[in-house]
Amino acid sequence: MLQYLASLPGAVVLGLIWGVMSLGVFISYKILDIPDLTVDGSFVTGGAVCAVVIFMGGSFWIGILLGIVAGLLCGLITGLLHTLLGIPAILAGILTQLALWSVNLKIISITGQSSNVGISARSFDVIFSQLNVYDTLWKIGIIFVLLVLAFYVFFGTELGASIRATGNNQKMSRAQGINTKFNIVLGLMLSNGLVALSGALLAQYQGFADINMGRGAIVIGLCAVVIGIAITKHISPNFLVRMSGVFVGAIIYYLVYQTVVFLGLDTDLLKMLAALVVAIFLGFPYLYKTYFSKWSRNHKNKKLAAGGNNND
Amino acid sequence: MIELRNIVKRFNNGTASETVAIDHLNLTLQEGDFITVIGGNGAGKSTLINIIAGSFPADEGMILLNNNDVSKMHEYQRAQYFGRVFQDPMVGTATDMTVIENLALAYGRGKTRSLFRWSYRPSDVEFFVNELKTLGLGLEDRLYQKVGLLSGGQRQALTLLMATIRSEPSYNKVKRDYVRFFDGDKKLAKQEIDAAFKQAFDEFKASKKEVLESGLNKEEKKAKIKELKNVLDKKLRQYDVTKPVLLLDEHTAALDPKTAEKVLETTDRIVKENNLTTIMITHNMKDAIKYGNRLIMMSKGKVVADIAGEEKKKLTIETLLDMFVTNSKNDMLADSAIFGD
Repeated sequence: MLQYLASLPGAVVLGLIWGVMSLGVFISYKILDIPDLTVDGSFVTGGAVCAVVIFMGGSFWIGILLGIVAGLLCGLITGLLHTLLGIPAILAGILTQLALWSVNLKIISITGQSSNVGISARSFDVIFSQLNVYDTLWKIGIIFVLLVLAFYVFFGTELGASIRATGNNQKMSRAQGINTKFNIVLGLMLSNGLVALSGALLAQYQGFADINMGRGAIVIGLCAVVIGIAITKHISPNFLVRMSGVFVGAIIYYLVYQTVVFLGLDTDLLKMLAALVVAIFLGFPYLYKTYFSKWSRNHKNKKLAAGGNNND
Repeated sequence: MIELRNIVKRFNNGTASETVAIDHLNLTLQEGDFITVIGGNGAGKSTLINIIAGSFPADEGMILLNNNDVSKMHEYQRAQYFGRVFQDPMVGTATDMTVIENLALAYGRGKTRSLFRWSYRPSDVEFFVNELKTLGLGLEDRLYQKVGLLSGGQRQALTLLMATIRSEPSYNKVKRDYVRFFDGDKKLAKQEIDAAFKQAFDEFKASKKEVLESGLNKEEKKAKIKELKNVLDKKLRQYDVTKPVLLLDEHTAALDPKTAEKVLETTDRIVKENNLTTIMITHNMKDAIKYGNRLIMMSKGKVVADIAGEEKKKLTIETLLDMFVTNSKNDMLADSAIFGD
C-alpha cells in the first residue's frame, strides 16, 4: 500500500507530461475539429530529437527547442497534405505518422543506436528525471501553468479567435475573410509542436527516447481530452478551465493506470483499457441522446396518459 | 459597381450528367442597386451568388468589381468586398463562439488577423452594443452568450449585421483599393490619391499647430484636436470605394413568417441606411416585388426578365406569374407548384 501511495506523485508527473501532449490533441481535435493521427509519430520525433541533442552533448534547452521545431514541421506536413493536396485530414495524419516511423529511426540512428537513445540523468544534464520526482513535479507544474496561460492569451487574440472560428464553421470563416487553409496548417503545427514538447519532456523524465514511445499516444490524448471535458463541462465554459481540465484528465488517466497496475491487472491489457475508456466517453453522449431521452420521454408520456403533468 | 461578364458554370463537367447551371450570363449592378432575384429550383440563383462570392470558380467569364476582375481572388480575399447571409441559419455564424466574438470576427474582415491584438477590445463593446440595439431583438443583453443558444431568426439577424459591419479600413488600404479599382491610368490614380492624402494631412497638421499655440486650456485643446481628427477622417474616407456588397441567399427561407418579415425589414433598413449594393434571392414573389429597385427572373442559368424603376413598382404577382410561365414552358409544372403562393 505504501508503495502504491509513493507511486502517486510519479503518476501526477506523468499525467502532467502527457497533459502537454493532450493539450495538443485538444487543439486539433476540439478546436480545429480535426482528428489528427500525426501525434503518434510527432511525439516520438520530439523525444528522439531532444534525446539525440542531449546525447551528443548539447544543452537540454536546445534539445527541447529543436524537438518542438521538429514537431511543428510534422504538423506542417500533415497540414499541407490536407489543405494543398486535399487528402482527408485523418488520412493525411496517418500518412505522416507512417513516414515519421522511418524518420524517427533515422534520427535515433545518428547516435549509432538502433531503436532507443539513453539519456539517463546519472550521466547527462536533463531538465528533470524520475530519479527526483519532487523536483520534476514543480518544474512540470510551472510548464503546465505557462502553457495554459500562453494558449489562453493566444486564443483570445484576433489570430487565435480566427483559428477557433475555422474549427467551428469553415464556410462562415471564409465568408468573414479568414484564410481557413492557413489557419488549419497553423493549428496543426501548434498542436504537433506541443505533442513534440511532451515527447521531449517524457524522454528526459524516463531517461531514454524509444521508437515505440508514441504508440497509442493519440488514444491517451483523447482519453485525457474527453475526461477533461466531462469534468469541466459542469464547472465552467471558461477556456482556461477547459484547457486545465485536459491536464486534469491526463492526471486522472495516470492515477487510474497506477491503481489498476497496483491491483494487479495484466499490463498487456492497459492499451485495451484506454481504448475502452475513450470509446465509452465518446459514445456516451450519443447513447444518452438516443436511448435515455427516449426512455425518459416514454416515461413522461406514460405519466401524461395516466393524467399527471409533465412538469418534472 | 459589379459587372458579370459571360459567366458559365457547369456541374459534373464532361460526364453524362453534365448540367449547365449558369449559361453565358451577363449582369450589371450599379452602385446602390438592390436587386431581388427569383426563379425556380435549379435556375442557378444560388450558384450565381456562390460564384460572385468565390465559393467556387466559374468555368468561363469575369466578375468585375468597379471594373476590376476579382474572379481570380480566393473566397476569403473577396470577403472584404462582400457580405453574405446564407439560407441556413446554422451556416452564417460560429455557434461555439459568443455573440461578441462573432461580431468581432466580422469586424476584422479585410484585415490581417494579428497575433498582437485581442479579438475585441473593451472600447469596441459599446459600438457592438449600439449596432445590436438597432436589430431590436435584445441581443445586446446576450453579448457573452454562445450563438448556438440563439434562435434561427436571431442568428439570421446577427449574420445580417455581421455581413454589413466592417471596421473602417486603414488609410493604406483605402489608398490601395482606390488605385486597384480606379478606372483608367493606375499611376495617375496613385499620384492623385497620394497628393490628396498629403494635402489633407498637411492641413490637419497646420490647424493642429494653430490649436496648440492658441491660448486655450488643455481640455479645450484636446476637444479641438479630436474634432480636427474627425474632419480629417471624413475627408480621407471619401476615397473608400469598397463598401461591402450584400449577397443574400434566401436568408429568410428557414424562418417563420413573422420572423422572416422582421428580418426582411431589418435588411431593407440596413441597405437603405448604408446605400448598399445588394443581391437578394427569394422564393417569395411578394417580397421580390416589395423590396429593392430592380427585379430579375432567372431560368436555366439565364436572366429572362429584368425589371427596374417605375415598371417594377407596378408589378403584381399575377403579371410575374404570367411572365414566369411564358419564360419557362418546359418546367412550368414544377415551378408553378413552388410559386403558387
